[in-house]
Amino acid sequence: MTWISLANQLILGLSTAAIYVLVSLGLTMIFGMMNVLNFTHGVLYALGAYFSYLLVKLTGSFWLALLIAPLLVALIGMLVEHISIRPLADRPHLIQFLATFALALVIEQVIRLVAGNDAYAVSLPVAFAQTLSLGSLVIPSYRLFLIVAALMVCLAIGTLLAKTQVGALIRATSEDPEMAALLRVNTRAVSTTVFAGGSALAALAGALAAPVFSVHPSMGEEIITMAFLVVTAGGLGSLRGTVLAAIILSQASSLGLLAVGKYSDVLTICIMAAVFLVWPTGIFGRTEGR
Amino acid sequence: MSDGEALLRLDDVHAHYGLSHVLQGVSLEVAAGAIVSLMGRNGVGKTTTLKSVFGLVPVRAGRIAFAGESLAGLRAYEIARRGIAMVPEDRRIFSTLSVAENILLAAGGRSDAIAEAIEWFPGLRNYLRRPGDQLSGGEQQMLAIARALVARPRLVLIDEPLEGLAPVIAERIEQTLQDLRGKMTVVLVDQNLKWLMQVADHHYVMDHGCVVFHGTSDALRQNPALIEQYLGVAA
Repeated sequence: MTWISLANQLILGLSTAAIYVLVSLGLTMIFGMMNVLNFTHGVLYALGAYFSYLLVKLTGSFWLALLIAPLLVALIGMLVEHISIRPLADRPHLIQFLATFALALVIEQVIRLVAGNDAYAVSLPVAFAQTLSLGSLVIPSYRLFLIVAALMVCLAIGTLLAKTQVGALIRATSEDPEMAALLRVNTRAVSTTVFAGGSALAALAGALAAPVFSVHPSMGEEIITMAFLVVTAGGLGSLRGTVLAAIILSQASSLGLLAVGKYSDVLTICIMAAVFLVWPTGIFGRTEGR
Repeated sequence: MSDGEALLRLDDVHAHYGLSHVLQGVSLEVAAGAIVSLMGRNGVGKTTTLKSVFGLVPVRAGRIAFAGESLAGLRAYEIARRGIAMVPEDRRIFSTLSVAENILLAAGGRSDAIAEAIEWFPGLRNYLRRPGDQLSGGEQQMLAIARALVARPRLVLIDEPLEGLAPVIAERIEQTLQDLRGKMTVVLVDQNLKWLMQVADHHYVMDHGCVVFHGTSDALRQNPALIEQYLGVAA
């Protein structure tokens, strides 16, 4: 039945979008705050997956790993910010971009040194190991869990930013850090917190992706390309743009598989090119540059 | 004014923007409780002087002290936390924050800050939920001043508060600033000489990055030649 394969691909696409959204949200929040494209974001995602693998091995609990891996990576994120972004705060963006790119290569090599070049598998948590059947439609329940988890994280972040004093601090510091400082806000602490939070989101995505994609050293490189595509197509710094672009990108690839088979990547790139032709600064991009 | 009384004191402060030497040895004293004006034509260094207090321009030489302690090496937020607030010329209201959020942020989340801001400017009550980028110039200026005052500073630096405002709003702001007498120490930068002579106790006139005159309103009034030379108006 075509509609069954269509529904299957839709759900698969949405669950991939869930991972893209979580990675890209962190990246776009960090860009909104510091105006820097952080290339280490991909390896922080990979570290989240590796820590999750290790923690599942040590504790036997997927859920504990899902909680602790992001916290560990948040600490590493603070270190990354301290050594690669803070000292270059007044330098041109290209210099900051290159510094984070270099640091990403270093971290990836450290991963290869410590864990080797092999891929590891993390087993599905028991609660979501089975499939759900709706008539002849069979859905892996973990894929549904990914979609719901990403939705909940998006809602939580949206509420935090829009409704809380912490959110107001973050928005104010993103918009005009000098004025925020004149109003007694320790803007460096706010930036570091956002960087740590963004890193934790990347790690959460890595830990969630670990059971469906394998854990391997170049997973960071693979995701960062997608994440950059998502945040620029969505409009840098825009959260809703990020969500929308992640869905478009993953559905183009997922539904494209049905339409054009192995050429679905070509279709995806064509669709993204069309997005940039219509919205050169991304779907919800600012019209004027910062 | 003796040394002991000065709440803010600048001693021979030099600052540069790139190659341009914008402050060329500015010295001034602001006594606790006083309202002090900073006058001069456009581009003589008034705004830069205010910014130098927060370290927002690189100070190459000289000393800036608040309540007897040097501010050198402190970051802007640390200086603000010592009790100095600034209302910048362009107001710089956060456009993505509502009026209420702007006030709460400035007050460090203190819940009675909104009521306090409304006491200063009752008009604010009508648009508490409106985003910062949907305010008129006058509304923005009232919010900018309220934002500084709810931080309960000891000293507030206010840059061109009346610029570009409708007369009725300018009057409202003038009144509020006059009400600050005895409650806060104020440094005012403005072009309205007549108003400054009414509201301020002591005046500093700047030219080319230097203070060329300081004294009371009476002393300034007795010096029409100076007013014409440095402020470009007939006294």
